[in-house]
Amino acid sequence: MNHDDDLERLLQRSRRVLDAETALRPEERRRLARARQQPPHRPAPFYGGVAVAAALLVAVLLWPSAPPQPLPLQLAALAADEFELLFDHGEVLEGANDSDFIAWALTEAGR
Amino acid sequence: MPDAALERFLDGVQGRAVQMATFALSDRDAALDVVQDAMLAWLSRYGNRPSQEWAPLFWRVLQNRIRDRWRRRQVQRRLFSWLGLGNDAGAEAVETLADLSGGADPARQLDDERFRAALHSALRELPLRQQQAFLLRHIEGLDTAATAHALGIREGSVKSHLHRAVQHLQQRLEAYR
Repeated sequence: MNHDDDLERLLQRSRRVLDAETALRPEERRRLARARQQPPHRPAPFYGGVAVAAALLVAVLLWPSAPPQPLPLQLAALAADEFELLFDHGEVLEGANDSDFIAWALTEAGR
Repeated sequence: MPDAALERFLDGVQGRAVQMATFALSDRDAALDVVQDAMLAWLSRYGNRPSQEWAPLFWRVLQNRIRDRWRRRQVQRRLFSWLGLGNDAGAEAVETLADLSGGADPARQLDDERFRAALHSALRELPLRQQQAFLLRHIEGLDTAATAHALGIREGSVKSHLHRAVQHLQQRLEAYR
C-alpha cells in the first residue's frame, strides 16, 4: 500500500469520525434556532490596542508576588500569534523549497 | 424571521460550524456563541443573496468570527497566565453524540475511540489557520479556492497550511495506519 493510499484512508477515517460528531444537543439546536428569530445585534468590537493597554493597567494594579512569566514574553507571544495570522503568505515561499510540498501541491491541484 | 430556505441552509451547516468553532476555542459554549453571531451577521448581510452564494459567504463570516474570538482568548489567556490566575479551560472535548462503535465488537470499538481521541488531540494542536484550512478542505469538502475565500487568504497559502496540517496529523496518527 503506497503513501497516497495511506493518506486517503487516514482522511476518510477522520471524515467518518468527525461527520458522526456534528449532531447538536436538542437544547443547543433550540438555542441557535431561538437566536435566529431575534433581530440582529452588533457584537462588542475588539480593539487589540485597548485590550493590551487595559491588560497592562490591570497587571500593574494586581501585580502578583511571583509572576509565572515576564510580561514582555507574554506580549511577544501575542505578537507572534498575530504575525502568524497576518503574514502567513510567507509560508508559500518557504514551501517552494520543499520537494514533498511541491509534489503534494501538484496532486492537490489535480483533485 | 428567516424564510424556510434560509432556515434549512442554517440547519444543515450549524453542526459542522459548532464543531469547527469548538476545535478552535476548546469551549463548547463559546463556540455556540460564535456560531450564533455568525448566523445573525450572515443573515443580516447576505440573506438576500442568491442561494449558491450562501455557503461560501457563511464559512467566510464564521471563520472571521472564530478568529476574532480566538484572538480575544489569546489575550485573556496570556494575561491570566502572567498574573498566575488559572483561566485555561483546558482542552474541552468536542461533543460526541453519535455512537461510533458500528457494532458490538469491543476491540473495534476501543480502537475507534482511541483514534477519535488522538484525532481530536492532533487537531487541537494545529495552529488556527492550519486547523481551519484542514477542516474546511478535507472535512467539509470545500475546494481549495473556496477554502481560500472562506479564510480570506490566497490559494497558495491554503495549500501550504494544508500540507503542514496533513503532515502533523500523519505523524500524530501514525499508529492507526
